[in-house]
Amino acid sequence: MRRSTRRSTSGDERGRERGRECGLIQAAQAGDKEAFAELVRRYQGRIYNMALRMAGDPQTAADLAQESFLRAYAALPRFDVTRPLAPWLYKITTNLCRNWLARRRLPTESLDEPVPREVPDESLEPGRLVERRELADRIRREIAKLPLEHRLVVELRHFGGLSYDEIARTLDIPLSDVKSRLFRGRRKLRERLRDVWNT
Amino acid sequence: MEYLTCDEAEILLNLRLDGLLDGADSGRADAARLDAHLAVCPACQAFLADMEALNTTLAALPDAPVPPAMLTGVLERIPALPPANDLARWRWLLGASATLEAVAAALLLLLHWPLVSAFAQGLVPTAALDAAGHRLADGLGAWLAWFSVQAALIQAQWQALTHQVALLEPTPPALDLAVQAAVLLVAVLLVWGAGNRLLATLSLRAQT
Repeated sequence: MRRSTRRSTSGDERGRERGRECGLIQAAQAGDKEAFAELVRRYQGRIYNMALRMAGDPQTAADLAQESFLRAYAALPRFDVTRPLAPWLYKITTNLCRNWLARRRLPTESLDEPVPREVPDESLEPGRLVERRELADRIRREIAKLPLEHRLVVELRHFGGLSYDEIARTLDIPLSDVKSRLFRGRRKLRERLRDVWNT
Repeated sequence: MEYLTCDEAEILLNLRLDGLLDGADSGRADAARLDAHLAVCPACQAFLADMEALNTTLAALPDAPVPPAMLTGVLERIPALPPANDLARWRWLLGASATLEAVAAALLLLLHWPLVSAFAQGLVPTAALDAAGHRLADGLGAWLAWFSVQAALIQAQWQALTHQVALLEPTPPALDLAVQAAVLLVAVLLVWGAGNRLLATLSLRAQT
């Protein structure tokens, strides 16, 4: 009984949150820049980190994230407020990252530069902190080495939290391709990171 | 019960990891087959353990901090854009003008079909130029390159046109040849303009 009440409360909260976001989108569509700024604040972490995992370089990731929000602002009047905002923003960012990678023509295997450190967690001991940073860097590098099409699906599923259907719509590919790319991407990550779990 | 191969089991394991197997009514039979396979297959047991570890690790991967100037950088560049509603209005005008140009071009070409037919037989290989243009048409800066390729295309077509006009039968035309050539050039320009507007609209839609 308690569980169902809690679930209901959580559902109500999600509904209110969704309502607030719809209000912000509609205000931004009407030209309210402060409302758009609030949307940027809400999504900048996810968009920047997605661009960082795709590009591997913090400065490029910042540029791609800013460009994503500017394009979102320009296209906002055509956005259907009944749809969730996150997949739409991911689609814009994905297209920008794809174009950037195509222009750079970087082989995916050549991304060896470590990405910047995350915010230090003061609660961890120094030795454990270093270990965690190294593991995070290692995983980011291995994701960056995946073939682009596998990387996109892994990114949207594991970090964007999109469903298979949402990924298919975001990337304009069939559902069967979403599954095969995701499963292959995971298999490759498993092979490359096996030593992490077997030590 | 039909037994699974390891490849089939791997697909079902992935679905289970994403919560798409055990909850669905249609997945119960598959879930039972997967469990039967896992009970006797150490390789798939190891695969499942690794995949669960991978999922946990990815979920716990900390985010890198957002550069402090991200928000201000976006907001500072917004005033440089036309108001969002204006963009939507211009996009509508873009499509409307492309349609009008395409209709006008079609009428002109139909009215002067004999000349067009002669012209088409002497076309230079434009497919290669078109392909080069499309490859270049990526990003705002490259649009300039696209326009220059289109200009080269028109110039080549003009040369072919004048060549064909010289070979035409000396029967008295309905209009002066120079007038017909000018009309055809206008039609080509209209097609070119409409095509570019269409590409710009499609590009805008693809990017958003």
